[in-house]
Amino acid sequence: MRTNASSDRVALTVVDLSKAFQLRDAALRRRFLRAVDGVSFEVGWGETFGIVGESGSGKSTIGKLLLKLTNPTSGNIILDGIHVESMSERRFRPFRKRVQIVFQDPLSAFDPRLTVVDSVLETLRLSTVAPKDRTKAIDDLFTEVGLDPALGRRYPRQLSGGQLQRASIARALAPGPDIVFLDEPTSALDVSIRGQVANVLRDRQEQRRLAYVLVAHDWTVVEFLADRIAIMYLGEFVEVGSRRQCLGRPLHPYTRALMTSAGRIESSQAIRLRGELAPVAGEGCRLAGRCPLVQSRCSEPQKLIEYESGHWARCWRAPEVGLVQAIAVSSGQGIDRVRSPEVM
Amino acid sequence: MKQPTPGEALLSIRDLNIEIGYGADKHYPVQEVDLTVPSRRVTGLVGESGSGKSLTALAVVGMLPPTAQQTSGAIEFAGVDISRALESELQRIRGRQIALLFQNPRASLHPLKKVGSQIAYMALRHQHLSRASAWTHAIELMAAAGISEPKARAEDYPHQFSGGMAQRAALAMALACSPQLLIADEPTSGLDTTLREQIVELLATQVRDRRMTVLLITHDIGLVKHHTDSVTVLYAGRVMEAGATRLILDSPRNPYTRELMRADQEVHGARMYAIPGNVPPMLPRWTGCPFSGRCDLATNVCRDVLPSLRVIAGREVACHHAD
Repeated sequence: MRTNASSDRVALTVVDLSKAFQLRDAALRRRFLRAVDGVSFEVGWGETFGIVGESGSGKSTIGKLLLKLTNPTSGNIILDGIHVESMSERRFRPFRKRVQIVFQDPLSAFDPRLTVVDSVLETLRLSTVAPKDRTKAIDDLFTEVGLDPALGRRYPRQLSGGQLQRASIARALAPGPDIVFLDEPTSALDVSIRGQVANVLRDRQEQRRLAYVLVAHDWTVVEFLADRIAIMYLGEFVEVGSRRQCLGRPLHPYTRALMTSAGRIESSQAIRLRGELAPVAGEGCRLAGRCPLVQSRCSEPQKLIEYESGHWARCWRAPEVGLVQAIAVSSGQGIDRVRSPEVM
Repeated sequence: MKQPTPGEALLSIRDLNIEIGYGADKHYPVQEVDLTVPSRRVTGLVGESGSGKSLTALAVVGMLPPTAQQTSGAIEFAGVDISRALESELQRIRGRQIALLFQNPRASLHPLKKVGSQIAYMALRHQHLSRASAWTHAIELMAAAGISEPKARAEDYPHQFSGGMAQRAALAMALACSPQLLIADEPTSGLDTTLREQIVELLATQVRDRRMTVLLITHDIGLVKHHTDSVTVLYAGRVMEAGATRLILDSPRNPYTRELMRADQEVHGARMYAIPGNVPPMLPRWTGCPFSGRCDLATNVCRDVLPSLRVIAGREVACHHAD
């Protein structure tokens, strides 16, 4: 079987995951916001799956679903071969230590009244480390992320952003997780120290064979950490592929637009969007209202189509955008697989 | 007030020093900062958090937080020293001659007032228009700031605006009195990348059309590269390098500028470049180069002697080893 992940049994499989929130407008009419809508992906051991998109695209909701802070409306989450999506909180408990998170802003992610060591202890208690060995374990963790263990006795406000973000990585690693959800791990940091945190993340991943799900909008960090990338817009993946494919030959106009605004594309290939992200009605392409390449066919539902091996895009004009030919079309009624149909 | 010709200094800051706190807690976030903003140009003020860039801007309009004190420095705006101006004088300058645009647009908008009336208020307050013409003026400004259906949106409240739209409204408010100088403090940092471009483009056209001068405060080197004429690089409260943007970004002569540009872009296989060490959170009064602790080239002279700004290769550089 062909998979996109790098080893046999994958660390995390997500199949057709959806989360709808029920909203009420001013007239108390009910409407649904499909924050995550039919998303599928796999992450292998030691692999990083990057998700890129604007705010409101549903990236953070994926994180909440993976951590089971909220339950999916439909779809499956399979951790190391076990379905967890419909588990009760009680049964999911043992899995909590296996899925950890690093937040964007480390200062608001730490309890201001606890020393950094005490915060790390909270997650270390989930691990198998015996109480008498915990002090040593924390010192080791701090050394692992390049922090002087003496800094642990300080309060969060007394550390710099970069130091505190490394402490927050130590906290995520403390229970010995398999999967770490990285929610914009470097966005709150200054450029000069962003690399320190990115390097620590990469080193720890190599040593512990961690699976990362990385949400970021900084292409430098995505390029550095991610093996495969999904570009997300209004709850859907609009493009999925390897780092080389997505960055080297972006197929979806939205991907091009994101790269244009980051100054990562030649001006001859630049695409500039109109307006800003807003929920849309209808079955057609959700980007149509903002896309400069829009035509009447964009009002038809768009499927993820494979154009290069493992490189999928949800746009019928992708062949023109990326100068490629379709090789496979996703199957099902509105259900898209990241894997190609012949193996499903 | 005399009107400078294009290219002449509209705003000029000399030897600005700001202190925060008392006694043992005292620190020095802005030290001997010089900054020149030429008329009808876009000038960048670049630095990381804690470099003193925002405090420098706030000092210009006399809006330093109560804990911070300007201990010395001359701030000349259109030929007049405003650093010792009375609050009542500053009130006539703020908004009318110098407008501000901040990172978080929602914090600049009153949550309980209609967006249109907040923009109209600026014109009412400073230009003494009638209510009706101030309202019409507000709608025109919103249209100019790229808000579609400005007539209807003027009746909306800030919470009904998305982040990008709120920043456009804040820009409309800043433009209301056609100020000579716009100080934009990280105007795009809170926005998605696709919107950043739009807002900066808008800023650029408005500046051209209205013959304005801009001081753009940012940590984003990309923004500086594409949208500024000259730039001043701050590190830990001190000016490291200042001059024409193209000159500085093409061949930075201060090691800090060079390192910052490397950290912005550079990935070497399994390593992403980072400047070693951290910016100290509480700045002492520097007696040596503030960057010496993190600099490869640092020698004893760097640690012991404060480098002053020297003209090298057509720009000002504060580094003992620059040539």
